[in-house]
Amino acid sequence: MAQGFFRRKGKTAEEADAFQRFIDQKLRELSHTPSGKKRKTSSPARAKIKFPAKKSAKGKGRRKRILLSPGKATMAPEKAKKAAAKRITPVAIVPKRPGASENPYLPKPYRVLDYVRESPDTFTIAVDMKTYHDPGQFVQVSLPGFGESPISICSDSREFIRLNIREVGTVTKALAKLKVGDTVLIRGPYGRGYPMQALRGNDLIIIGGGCGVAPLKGIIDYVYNHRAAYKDIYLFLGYRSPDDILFQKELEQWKKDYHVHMTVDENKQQKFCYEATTGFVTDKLKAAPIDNHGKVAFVCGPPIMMKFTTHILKEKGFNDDQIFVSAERLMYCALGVCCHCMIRGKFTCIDGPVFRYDEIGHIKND
Amino acid sequence: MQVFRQDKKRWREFLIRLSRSAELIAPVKTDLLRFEPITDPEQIYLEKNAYFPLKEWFFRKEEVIFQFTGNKLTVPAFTAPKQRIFFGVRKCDLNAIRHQDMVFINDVGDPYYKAQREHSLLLGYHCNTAPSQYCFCGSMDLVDFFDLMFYDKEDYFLIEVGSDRGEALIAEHHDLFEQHNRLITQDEKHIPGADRLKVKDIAHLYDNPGWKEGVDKCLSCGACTALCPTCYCFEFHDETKLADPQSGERKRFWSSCQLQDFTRVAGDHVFRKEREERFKHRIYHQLDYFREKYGIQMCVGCGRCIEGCPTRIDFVDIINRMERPEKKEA
Repeated sequence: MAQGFFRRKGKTAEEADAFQRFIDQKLRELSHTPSGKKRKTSSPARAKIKFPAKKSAKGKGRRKRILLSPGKATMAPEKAKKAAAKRITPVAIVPKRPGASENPYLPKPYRVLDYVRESPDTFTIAVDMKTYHDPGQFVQVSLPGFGESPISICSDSREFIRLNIREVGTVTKALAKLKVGDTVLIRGPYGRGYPMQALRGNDLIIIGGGCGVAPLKGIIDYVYNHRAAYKDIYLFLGYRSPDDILFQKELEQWKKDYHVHMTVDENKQQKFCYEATTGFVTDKLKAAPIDNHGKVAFVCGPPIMMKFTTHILKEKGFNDDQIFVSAERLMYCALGVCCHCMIRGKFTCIDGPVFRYDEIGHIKND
Repeated sequence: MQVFRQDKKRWREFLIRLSRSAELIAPVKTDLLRFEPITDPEQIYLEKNAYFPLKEWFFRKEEVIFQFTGNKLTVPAFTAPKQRIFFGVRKCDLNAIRHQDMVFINDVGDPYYKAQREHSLLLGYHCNTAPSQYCFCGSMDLVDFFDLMFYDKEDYFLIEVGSDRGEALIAEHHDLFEQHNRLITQDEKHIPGADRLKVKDIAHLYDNPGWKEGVDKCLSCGACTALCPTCYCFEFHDETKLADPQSGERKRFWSSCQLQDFTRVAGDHVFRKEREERFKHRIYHQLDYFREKYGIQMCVGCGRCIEGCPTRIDFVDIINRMERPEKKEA
């Protein structure tokens, strides 16, 4: 019953995506066609009327209105005007990568829509960034004067992005002081996320430790939107203490839909902890009766936890190409230039942050 | 490509003319040999290769990415510098610029680098012999990359044209050049005494214990990366004004993979903690990783990282030594 609901939901979401992509492509095509072409396509009778400049602008508006959904029609002439202005002044720098703006280091302002305090040192903000992204991709969040920090996207929506941030450094501590309605500067999304399309039809095993759950929440949200494409979902989430449990709002829903296993490292004060057992998440994974048949595992967490988890998964018969790990490095450019995030010649920012285990599993130290 | 001939007297006049119409930059011996703007050709020092590479003229040590006031960003205007002509650039530096172009222009379209690079002409100067005992450019696969290349023949120069812009420059000053009927031979292009590195591919040497020998002298000072003509890693830092903390600049600085902080993440975890790991990382990036991504080795064999190293760690020697047992058999 729930399956049917999700399937329907999944399909409509996909259709909406496809439609959105179609619209955007059309928009792009329109703004790139040279003005001469457009005038030709409008009816010849119109071109004869006295004020050609005015007429052509009207014609543009009309042509666009046919292709666009009614809600966006008002925006179209403005965009067309902007595009026309661009055509006159030659653009000096052509972006080399799709999605790269003219100046790849320049962030754009976005508004904070929502602020949720998750744990004493973690918070989640929602930002009105409308963008296509895969789960596991990240954005560079800047606060002028403090610096820039790579933060993974922990949502799956085309309308906004959610960022789960832990206060550890200068930038993240400053970000914690943001309020709803404030402006934050973001560029991205960057990196290679989880190949969710290719993994359709599998059981998903999601193993997260601490704030490593944040990028994995992107998968959980994605699966919610595309429920029919995946079979059973197992969540293994480990936290330090009951206070550190993330996404407590969403947890109730997850428990209904998926197999959730939670642990806390210690719970001395016997606090409420959503039925989490005391111990390490790796032990819970070890005890779970899971084989590798038709399953894919996603691991993210502290380096030591990732090491043990992959070890246990391999003991359970998982092949290297069934395990996906997410790497964390110091980053500045996120474009594969500054070299800080390099792991044996692979850039975490463009080849990662998600790696299939056979790509970096043999690397011990770097 | 076309070849011209020029007497040294006329060469002097040629440079004087260039310095009038453009900014002429050439190796000058001050404290150390470096590229500096000149007005008089007498200042040029060509006997040795410059101690500092050419890269700082394009990929600058310090670059303002944007200025901010609150959340408002303004990119400083790219002041189009008047044409800059670089003279006396060696083959290694020319190729290094080619490699940096691949990264900054072809790969990411970096507007700051491009603005610096756009109005510049590269006039090379060919080494007749290896100018330093540390050179090993003969071991690397260098190509012809220049606008004009000057081959020193005692009392005259042979000049090879490498680009349309170089040809236009000669056409502009055609009275100072004579057409030469002979092409530059491969023998002339060869730089003798510069093929010290005997190993082409070092991928199989990664776990060799030889990396530990000699590297324990490393001071982790970063001189090698600062002097390297190809090293391009950088970092951003925000600088705020004391009077008004709301406004300031985001700047880009050179960075160095030899420093421990290079891989430090929040929570104080350092991924390459040992000096030998960082040293090995640099060499592998130069000779192996760059080739994976761009198809050529990044190192151009200028030997500056060895000459400038306070403890003279010679990575060419280290690699050759690792291969020595195999070499004896062959």
